[in-house]
Amino acid sequence: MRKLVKSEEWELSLKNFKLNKKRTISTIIGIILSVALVCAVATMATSFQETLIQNAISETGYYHLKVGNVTDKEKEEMQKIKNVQNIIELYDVGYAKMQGIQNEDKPYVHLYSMRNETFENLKFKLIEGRFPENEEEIIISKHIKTNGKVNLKIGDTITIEVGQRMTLDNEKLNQNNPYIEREENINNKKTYNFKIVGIIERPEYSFEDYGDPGYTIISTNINIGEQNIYIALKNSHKYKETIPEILGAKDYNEVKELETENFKFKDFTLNKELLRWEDFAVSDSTVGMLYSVIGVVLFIIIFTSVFCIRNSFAISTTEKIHMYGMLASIGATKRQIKKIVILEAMILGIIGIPLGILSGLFADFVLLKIVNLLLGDFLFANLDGIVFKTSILPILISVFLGFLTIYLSAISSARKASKVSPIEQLRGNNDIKIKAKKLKTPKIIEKVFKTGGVLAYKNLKRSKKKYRTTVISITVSIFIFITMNAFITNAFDLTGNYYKDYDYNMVLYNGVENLSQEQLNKIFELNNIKEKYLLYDAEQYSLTVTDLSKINTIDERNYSEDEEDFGYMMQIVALDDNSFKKYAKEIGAKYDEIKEKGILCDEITEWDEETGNAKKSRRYNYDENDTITGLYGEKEIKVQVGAVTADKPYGLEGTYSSGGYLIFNKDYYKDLTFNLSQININSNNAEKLQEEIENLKLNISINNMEENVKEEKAMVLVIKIFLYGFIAVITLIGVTNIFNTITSNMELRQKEFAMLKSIGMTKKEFNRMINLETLFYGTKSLIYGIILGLIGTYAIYNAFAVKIDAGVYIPIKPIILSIIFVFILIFIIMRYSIFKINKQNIIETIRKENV
Amino acid sequence: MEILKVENLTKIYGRGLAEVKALDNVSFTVNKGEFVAIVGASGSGKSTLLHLIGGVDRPTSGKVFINGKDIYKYNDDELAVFRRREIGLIYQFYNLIPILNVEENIVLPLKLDGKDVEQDKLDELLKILGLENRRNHLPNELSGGQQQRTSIGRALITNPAIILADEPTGNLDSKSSDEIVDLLKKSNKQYNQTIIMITHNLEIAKTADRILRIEDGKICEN
Repeated sequence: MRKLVKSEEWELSLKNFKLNKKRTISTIIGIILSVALVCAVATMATSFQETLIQNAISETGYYHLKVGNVTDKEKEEMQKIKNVQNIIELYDVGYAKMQGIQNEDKPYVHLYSMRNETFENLKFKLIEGRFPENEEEIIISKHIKTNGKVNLKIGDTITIEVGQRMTLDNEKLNQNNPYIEREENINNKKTYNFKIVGIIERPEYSFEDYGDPGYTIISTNINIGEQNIYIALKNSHKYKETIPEILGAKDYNEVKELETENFKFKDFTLNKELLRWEDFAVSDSTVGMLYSVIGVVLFIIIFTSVFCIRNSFAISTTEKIHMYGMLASIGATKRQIKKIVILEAMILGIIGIPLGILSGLFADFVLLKIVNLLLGDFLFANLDGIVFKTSILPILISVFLGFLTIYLSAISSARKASKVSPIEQLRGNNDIKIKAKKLKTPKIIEKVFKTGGVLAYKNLKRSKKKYRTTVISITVSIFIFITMNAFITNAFDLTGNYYKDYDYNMVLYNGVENLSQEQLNKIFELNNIKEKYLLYDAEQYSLTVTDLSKINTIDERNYSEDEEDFGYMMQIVALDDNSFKKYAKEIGAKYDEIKEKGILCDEITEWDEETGNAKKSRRYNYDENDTITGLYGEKEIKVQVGAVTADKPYGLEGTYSSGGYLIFNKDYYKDLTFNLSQININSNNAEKLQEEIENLKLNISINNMEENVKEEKAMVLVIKIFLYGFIAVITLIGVTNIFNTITSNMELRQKEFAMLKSIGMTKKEFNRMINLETLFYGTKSLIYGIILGLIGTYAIYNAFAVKIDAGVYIPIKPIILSIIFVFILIFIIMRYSIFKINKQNIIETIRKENV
Repeated sequence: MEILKVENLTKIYGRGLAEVKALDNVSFTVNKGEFVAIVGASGSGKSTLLHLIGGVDRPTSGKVFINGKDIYKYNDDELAVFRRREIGLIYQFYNLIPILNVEENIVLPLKLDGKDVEQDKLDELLKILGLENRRNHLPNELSGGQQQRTSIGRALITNPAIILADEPTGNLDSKSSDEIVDLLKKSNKQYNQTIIMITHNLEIAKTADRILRIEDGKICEN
């Protein structure tokens, strides 16, 4: 008997799939989506980590610890330590003064000697030429030319006297000590002749410190001076044990706190960047945050998946209740029946999980390609973009979580199937076990929606459990969608989404005040200028207001009652007439009335240090037509207020003045003298315009914001792709589930529908009943989802600790989108179900039961 | 007065080799107030005939006139409306809507028609059916006999032209069976309700005014 049941079990499980192909397929799709999502998230994490690691390596080279002044013997000892993978070394030969260097703080060249292997490993960037073959050849860094202004090229020869940098008291100086002319010397000089064979980019600051008074030059085979070694570990996770061992410290704490008295080697540097990313420890604040975000995401995925997949299994179990009853009646034990159900689930898993993993990896791969296409240029200087990397870990996690999800989903169905008693089943459909009381319908339903509505309402009440998963699926998706929107809005405000509201994309500053009218005209004649806004500073820059009665908000931290002259400074600026006209229109003021007056812009933001909340208010009490009295330079002047606004004028959007601004019309306000400080240009081809302006050689600074805008837009797009992609997949999982629930429900009620039709319900009324059902539970899920979404939105705003007193932000757009989406979705599914039901013959259905 | 006329009714299921002629050129008439029993072996075409009279299915050829109207001239919607006003249907199983209680099930055809329920008529009906104490119960809280009685109530409430009953006692024990048949007889006598009932039980058939026998899709009167 046992053996028979075993092969029978397989056969039965397999036959069951064929029974309802559609159900099986949609369950498998649900599994694939869930696993793919888990795998994609985990792989994304490993990809990020790998990218950060590679980026660190590209900047610093591959080492974890640099130790200075090491003898060959000591180096050998270190090589023996178990966790040490590789040691490369170089010689810090010394410094030499070089003729012609025009940087007062950096008069030296700093000579190093190393093998080609070290040169490659430390990631110096060779622009021209090659690595030296012997001790008479040298590589110089590019910034000797650009920064030191010494014109050297490949093929030139130099002669330098290299020695130790020391103080007058013969103390050694290294690159961390800045150059102090009269207090240092080069001792023990030795003369070298070099031919220049190569040029490298300025080394990263991890090699040549910003304050190093010598430009890096590199030769080979000169084993003089201090030997510095770079140690790469085999297993970077064990760095807290290995590094103290190498340095001769008691434990890592001493290393961290730099308590180096008892160390064997006191001159060392950790490659913190690389260690941080290779270790990827939860204790690191950034990594910790990443882990928690991933944790939350995975939780949402598993929660949704278990829900949906469990529902799918429950439905297929219900459909096969006859079979389970029959099995029980011919003698299968409860255990055996449970086994069959779980077996079915596992088969689905074996098909679905690998497909899910492949899909997840593929999706990540494609996604990263797209991201790199959009953002590659901006992200990392030395890499092409985010590196795609997967390892065993994400795959194992996906497999594990996948099977866990399926198992959890299947056990309840298994239990239910095993409990079916043969008699109960053979007797008939005991679908309804509800009490009459629970089906009570409020009178209004009947009044408004008539019989169709009553039937719809009652049906929902009896199928509460069945529709619960549908309701929850929809609710979760809506909640996530609305909350995500809040997250996106906040995150971008925070990262300074400055550029979205600007009317211009280029700023000319630094030096414009010295331009003659002729030069200005040359600029304005150029093509590609759509609009320009000129900003002027007042000669004395600001107006100081000390009249406390006119000050609305006082910053308690700065104020003390004893201070007699306490006040605030209004920054005085002016716009050219055209810009002023535009500005006036935008703030709703009448240009003609205010062109000879000042516009007061004084919105300030106060920060509550304890709660981190920001509050916006006005600095002053001045209103339209008031007169401001204040100190301008040495004099006291009076200014009439033409308008008050919170919007800053062109050119000042990114600035903040705690005393506010006074804005005048340069052409009409004659009481003050103004100097040009900024030209803001709206260009239709910023790149070309920048080139043309640079060709005019006017000695001014140009800020091309197009690049910034492009980068920011790309960043925003990428983040949106990730977040909305995530929402889409979660929703899809929910949708497969909803599809399952609703179609199975329709099938189970075939008899009922046939009955209703036979006693005379028209098609129209029938459809109406179904549509009302949709309306009822669609509305229910929407309300739950929207309420939860609003709560989520509020929570996110709190988390970002910027509460805008101006009012609560209601995410109207996402709410409307949710509503539209939900109803479209459900109507489609319902239509499909009705279509299938209407196809069937009433007679056939009634026949089925009445033969 | 002729209430039902069946003219050359034929119904063929399937095609080609799988063709089944369920009804073969059947013709007969029924007068108002008659209680007709249709008997025949299983598969003889009884149910098909009943469904065609009730407008639940469409014939391959032939006509059905109820109260002088050719019902197959109606489209599907008109047929549905016709059914709920003029026909009362009772089946062997699953007559009732499981989420509606006894009272709601009974008045369902009226509600679908948008008509008001005359409470005293309903109360009287419930009394006759012996269901006054069960009016708020759901079908799963009723016995088989009580369920069938509810079905009869639903069939009666609209005062239909014809009540069509397909093996109404097939699922019941003898006591309940007798109750059901008595009820049908009562409504036939008291309300002059025309009833056509299918049964395979000759004893029950004998309680009718007239017996029609069907064999292989053809009628032979008795």
